[in-house]
Amino acid sequence: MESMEEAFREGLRDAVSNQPAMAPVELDGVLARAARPAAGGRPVGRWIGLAAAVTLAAGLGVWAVQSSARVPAEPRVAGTPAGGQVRTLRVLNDTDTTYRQAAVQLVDGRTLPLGDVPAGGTVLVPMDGTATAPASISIDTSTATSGLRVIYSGDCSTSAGHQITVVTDQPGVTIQIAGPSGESTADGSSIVSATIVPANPSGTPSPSSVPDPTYPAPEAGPTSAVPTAAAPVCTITIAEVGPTPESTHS
Amino acid sequence: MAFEDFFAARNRRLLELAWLITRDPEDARDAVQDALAGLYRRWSLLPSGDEFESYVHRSVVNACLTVLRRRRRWLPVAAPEQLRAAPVSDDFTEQVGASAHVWQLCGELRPAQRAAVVLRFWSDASYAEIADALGCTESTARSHVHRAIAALRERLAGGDE
Repeated sequence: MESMEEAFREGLRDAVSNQPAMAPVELDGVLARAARPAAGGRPVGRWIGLAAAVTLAAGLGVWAVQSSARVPAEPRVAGTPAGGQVRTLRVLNDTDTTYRQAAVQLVDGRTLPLGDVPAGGTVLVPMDGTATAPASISIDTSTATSGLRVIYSGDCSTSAGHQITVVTDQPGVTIQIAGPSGESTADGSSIVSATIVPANPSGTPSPSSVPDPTYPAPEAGPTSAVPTAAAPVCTITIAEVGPTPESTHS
Repeated sequence: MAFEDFFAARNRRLLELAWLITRDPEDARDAVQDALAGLYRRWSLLPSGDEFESYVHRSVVNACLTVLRRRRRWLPVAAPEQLRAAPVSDDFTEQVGASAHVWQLCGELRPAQRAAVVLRFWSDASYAEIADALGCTESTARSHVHRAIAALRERLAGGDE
C-alpha cells in the first residue's frame, strides 16, 4: 500500500515538473473577473435562466406534438429505460428534407425505434448503462447520395472524449468522413460530416444488401417519406473513449 | 494577510493543483482564476487557519470540476475500418514507468476521484479535508483514493508481466 502511495506522489511530482508551459495567472485578470457578476449569482439572472428553460421546454413540447401528428406512432419497446443518461443526437440532412427512419441501439442490445426523424430534428436518446457503452443510430441510405451530419452533445462530466464512428456492413457502400475540423454549433458542439455513397448511383438498393437485423421494418404511412422496401443502413456509432494523452506525457 | 500577498504566495501552487485535476493548461488557468475571483469577493468574510485552507481547496476543486463539466472534448475521426477495429479506452502509450502509469491512470479516473487522489498525494490533504473539498463523506473520499491505489497496483502488476 505504502509503495503505491509513494508511486502516486512521485508520479504527480513528475507530472508537475514536466508540465507544459503555462501562462501564469495574473492578478489583474483575477480582479477583473471578480468584478464581473458571478454566473447565476443574481436573482435577475436566475429568473432569466428560469424563463429561458420554460420557453425551451414549451418549444420542445410543441415540436414533439407536431412530430407525433405527422408520423405514424412507433411501438414502444418494453423495458425502455425511463430515466438515466440522456443524450442528444441531431440528424441533419444537407440534400433534402425527407424523413429518416432512425433507431437507437441500447447498450443491452435492444433497439429503440425513434420513428421518423425529420431533417434537422432532434432525438433524445435515453441510454441504459455505463457511459462507455456505445450508442448507435441507424440511417436509411437507400436514397441517392446523402450528405449527413451528426452533431453530438455528450455528457462531458467525465474526462473521456468522444469518438464518432460511421461504419456500414453494406457491400459497396462507402462513407467519407470529414471533420470535426473547426466547425461547431452555437452551443459548442462539434460537427462531423459523413457522406454516404450508395453502391448503386441510382439509389436503388444493391441486391446483395442486407438490412440491419436490429433495424425495425419501417411502417408505411400516408405521410411517411421513407421507402418501405428493405433498405441498406449505415450505422453511426458514438462511443466514449479514454482521455487524449497529453503530448508532454506520451 | 492581504489578498495580493496570498495571491503572490499561492497562485503558482494552486495552478499546479488545478492542472493536475483538469490536465489542461487553459482549463487550469480558467479554474484558478474563477476560484481566486470568488475568494477575492469574500476575502473579508473568509475564515482563518485550517478552515481557510479547506475553503481554498474547496474553491479550486469546485472550479476545476465545473470547468471539466462544461468542457467539450473531441477526438479526430479516422478511417471507419480502423475505428471499428480499435478498442475503446485503449492504452495509447507504451511507456512503462510507474510515473507514466500514474499519469495515465489519473487521466482515466472520474474528475472527483482524480481530485481526491491529487489532494491526497500532491497536497497531502487528510481524508477529512478531501471530503470537505469534494462535498462528500470521508468514507467516500477514502474509497476514491483506495480504488485508485488498487487500480495502480493492478496496472503495475500487469506491466511487470
